[in-house]
Amino acid sequence: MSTNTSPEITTNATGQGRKSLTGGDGAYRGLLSTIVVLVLAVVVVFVFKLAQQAIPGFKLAGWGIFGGTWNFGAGQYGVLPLVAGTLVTTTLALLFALPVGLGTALAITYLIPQRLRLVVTSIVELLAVVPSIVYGIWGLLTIYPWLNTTLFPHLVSWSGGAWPFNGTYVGQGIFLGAIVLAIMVLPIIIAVSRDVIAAVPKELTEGALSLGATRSQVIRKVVLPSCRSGIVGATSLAAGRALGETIALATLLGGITTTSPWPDRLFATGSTLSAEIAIEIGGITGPPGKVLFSLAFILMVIVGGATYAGRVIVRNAQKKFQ
Amino acid sequence: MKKSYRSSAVALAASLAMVAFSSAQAFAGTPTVAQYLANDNVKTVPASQLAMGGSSFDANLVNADYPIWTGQDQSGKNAASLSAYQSHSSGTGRANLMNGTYQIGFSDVPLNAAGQDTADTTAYAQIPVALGGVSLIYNITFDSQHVACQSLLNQYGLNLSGVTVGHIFDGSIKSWGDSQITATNPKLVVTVGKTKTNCLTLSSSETIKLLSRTAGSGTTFILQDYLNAVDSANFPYPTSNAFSAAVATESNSAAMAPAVAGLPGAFGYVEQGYGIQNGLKSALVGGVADTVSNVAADATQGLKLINASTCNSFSTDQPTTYVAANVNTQCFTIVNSGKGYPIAGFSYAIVAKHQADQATAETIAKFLLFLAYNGQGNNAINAYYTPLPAAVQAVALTKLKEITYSRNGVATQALSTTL
Amino acid sequence: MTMTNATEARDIIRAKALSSVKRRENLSRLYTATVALALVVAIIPLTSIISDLVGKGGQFLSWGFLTQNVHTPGFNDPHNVGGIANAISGSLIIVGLAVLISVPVAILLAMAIHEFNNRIMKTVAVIVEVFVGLPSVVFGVFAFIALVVTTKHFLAYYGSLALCFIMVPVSTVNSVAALRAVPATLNEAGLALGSKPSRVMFRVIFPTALPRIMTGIFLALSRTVGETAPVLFVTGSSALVSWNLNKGATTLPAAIWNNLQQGSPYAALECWGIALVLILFVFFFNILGRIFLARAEKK
Repeated sequence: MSTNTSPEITTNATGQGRKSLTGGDGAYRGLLSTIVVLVLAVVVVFVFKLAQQAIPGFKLAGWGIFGGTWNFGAGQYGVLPLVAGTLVTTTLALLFALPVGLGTALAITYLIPQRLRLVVTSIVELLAVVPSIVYGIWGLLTIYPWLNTTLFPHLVSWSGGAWPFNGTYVGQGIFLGAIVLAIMVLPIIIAVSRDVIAAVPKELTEGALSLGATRSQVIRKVVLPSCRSGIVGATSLAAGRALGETIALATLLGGITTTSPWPDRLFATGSTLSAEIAIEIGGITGPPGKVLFSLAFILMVIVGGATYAGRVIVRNAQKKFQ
Repeated sequence: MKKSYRSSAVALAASLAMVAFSSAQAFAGTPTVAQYLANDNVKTVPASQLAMGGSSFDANLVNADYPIWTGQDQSGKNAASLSAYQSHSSGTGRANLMNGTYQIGFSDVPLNAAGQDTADTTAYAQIPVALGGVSLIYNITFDSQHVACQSLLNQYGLNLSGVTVGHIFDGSIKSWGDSQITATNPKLVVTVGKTKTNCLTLSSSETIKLLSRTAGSGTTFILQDYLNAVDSANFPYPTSNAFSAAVATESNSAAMAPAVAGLPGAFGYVEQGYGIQNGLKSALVGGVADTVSNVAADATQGLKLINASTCNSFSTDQPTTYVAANVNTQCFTIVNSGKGYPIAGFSYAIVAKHQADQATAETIAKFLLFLAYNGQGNNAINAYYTPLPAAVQAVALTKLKEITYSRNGVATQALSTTL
Repeated sequence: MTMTNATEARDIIRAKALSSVKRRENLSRLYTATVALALVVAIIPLTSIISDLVGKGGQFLSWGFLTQNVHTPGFNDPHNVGGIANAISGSLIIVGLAVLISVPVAILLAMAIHEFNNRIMKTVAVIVEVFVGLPSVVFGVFAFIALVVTTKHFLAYYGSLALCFIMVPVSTVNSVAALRAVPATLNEAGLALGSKPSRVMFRVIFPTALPRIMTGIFLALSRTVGETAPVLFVTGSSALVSWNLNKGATTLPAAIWNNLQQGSPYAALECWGIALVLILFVFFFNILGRIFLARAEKK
């Protein structure tokens, strides 16, 4: 099943490009306009309601919201540790998932025999639809004890406690979150990469092979470069899923504490913007709960900005080709 | 001769009957309440299903009793009237009660006592429904060299003095081998070479990894009320905030127990049942274990103290403005009385005194009456709660009588006036 | 040069060529090994999850599990967890309503984005893309404030409305791409023959794009069925099977969450059973979508 590799829908490559509908097609135009107006109304209500709740939150936090200390119970609302947590977990997850996912896609396309290919791709596709909460329980019940009893002690003794393996470990933390996030986005990267790799014209690969290139040269110099934009698309899809993850991370990250105010070492615990909202949602109607709406608002701004920036980049890249 | 036999037989039978009758009374509560709950035929269903939830402390008790209450009415009306318990935290229970989404909010922290809400306490009834102990659960491991230590620990358990508990939670004690801890565990000793060493210094998980609940937890509040008694310098008044010495925070009791179970060296706190469910041992405090009967001893002593204090009633209303120093925890039931297991507390169902209509008021009042009476006894014990003492049940009844609705413009009591 | 030098030169070149080939082949083997390693590293956690799902969850699959309601286990009967009938009915009605609302809205919105190309529609397209990337907890929080707190009720259809926020943007993006994939020549031909744009759309373009649209909708559906955060805060719960959208309801992901809140290891084990049922549902929709796609492409 092919997946839409890019969320980009505003550049009108082959669209109709009509500015208005002429002729007696009023009903059609009316229907479409109504839907657009409805949707815009809902969006306006959404933004308005969030802002309405977020503004008291910003007032409560004051300029401290740009500070570096987050302690919801004690009234400290600096969001930078949350933003840092979001970025660190996503980056670590992608650092792990991209090479592994790409390699797996290559393996599926070029290494695995035809009969096994169906089995492996079915497993990958099944895992693409596993709900986040299941990853959460898998992480907590299976990985968490293993980290505490096996992996972390070995890392500490092997590195002698040097950075980034310094400080106490608790199992929960950004490492566990990043690992589970990585496994979550792995099926996406594998699926998209596989599509893109399979789309490389056979003439190119066979031509290169006939010229005497080794397999790895074919992959490195022919296949991967032509897949570059697809891989970028896969990365952005994966990043989108990782950034938006809430429920799984809420159980796995361990929260911001005095021993881990920042995600500055591998064993640190932490929190992300969305996980923090989920954790503290119980108090959302109380006075400090408004700050959670401020977090939601900040999330909206960040995602909006990233989406816009992403498309500016894509548009510039496309301009280069034109 | 025969006549005297007969009369003594009658006397014996009469006294046996009296014993049986009074023990039946003691077991089932006042006969009028049991009869009332059994015979009540008027069960109108509220227009929309009522919602309840809050503290994870009472979750196990409510979840044990709710199926019985909904099963009693075979037409399923009770299930249609009141939805199942939503377990989050005490803070959530109170917050959702305030914003009207829960009709019954369960909280171990009375209104306004933790500085998180500013409610008009005269408008709410706070009904004690559960009594339980807070277990201090630990995970101390030993490597294969010291297997004997593991079996010693399993046999005797970990014993902490009150002061030591305070120092662990304020962060001044950082390792299991600390002299304050080994001093209270003289039985955990093995001979290594020629010297006797305390097992706790040989643990493979040297550092104490303290886990805390996130803000809003009533279990934290109960624990901090105890810490205030043993370490008032670092805990001047109880709050429901997370402990700053903790290395990780958990969102509720159900997450805390598995977290301790999976982390060697961990130390946490949960309502008693959660620790037992997950196969965790809990520490003895001052030589006393967290059991149903030890908590009962604590509560009995604590009630005597409360009644002797300046409080007018059990669970007195709290001031509407929160000043930490003014919150008199002795007045509303956190029990650390000096007898029995000291870290224990009551948990409350908080409801608005005046309800919108008869069906809502009756559903709420009757469910909570069931919880406080029929729902105690073996149901509570099997869920690792201590059954409410009779005096506390009487207070619950008094509070429940404050639930009213408007009939013809007059505030009418939801429960029958014969109770 | 002399013959010897030529021979030497030839040998040198041949040696260089051979060593180059050897080097490249060794490099190739190294790369193959790396790629294989990546596959192994990927397969290990993936199979761990599958084995947990099937091994731990499979023991719960039974007709009784699917038809009984949830039961909170007591301490003396910790295995009496009941079933998930209430969660299945809840998921069906909540997701069903979400689909009923989202699919027409998404398709019509996609048509609008495709047909018009003015400033407003460009903004709308940007907004839709932003919503695709927003974490679901933001929608849950909004639904809680806008619906639950104002009406003071926890109702099932609030969950449906919150899920629409997730389904509509994803389906719209996919539908627009599907509509764009239809060759422009079809549209031009239709218009040249004098048909109204609406006729061209509904008779030509939309049917051509339909297989891809349906696939995308099934994809969105499979994601929506597994969503926890938006539903958890607004639907309340129901311990009984209920087909009434105007009351509380529990979905399958919410049932997993509720099980975790109980704190007993057996309840946590049951989570895998619920997850397995959930995934089987999702797979069912997936396969339906593929059958649809295959039949449409046969035509």
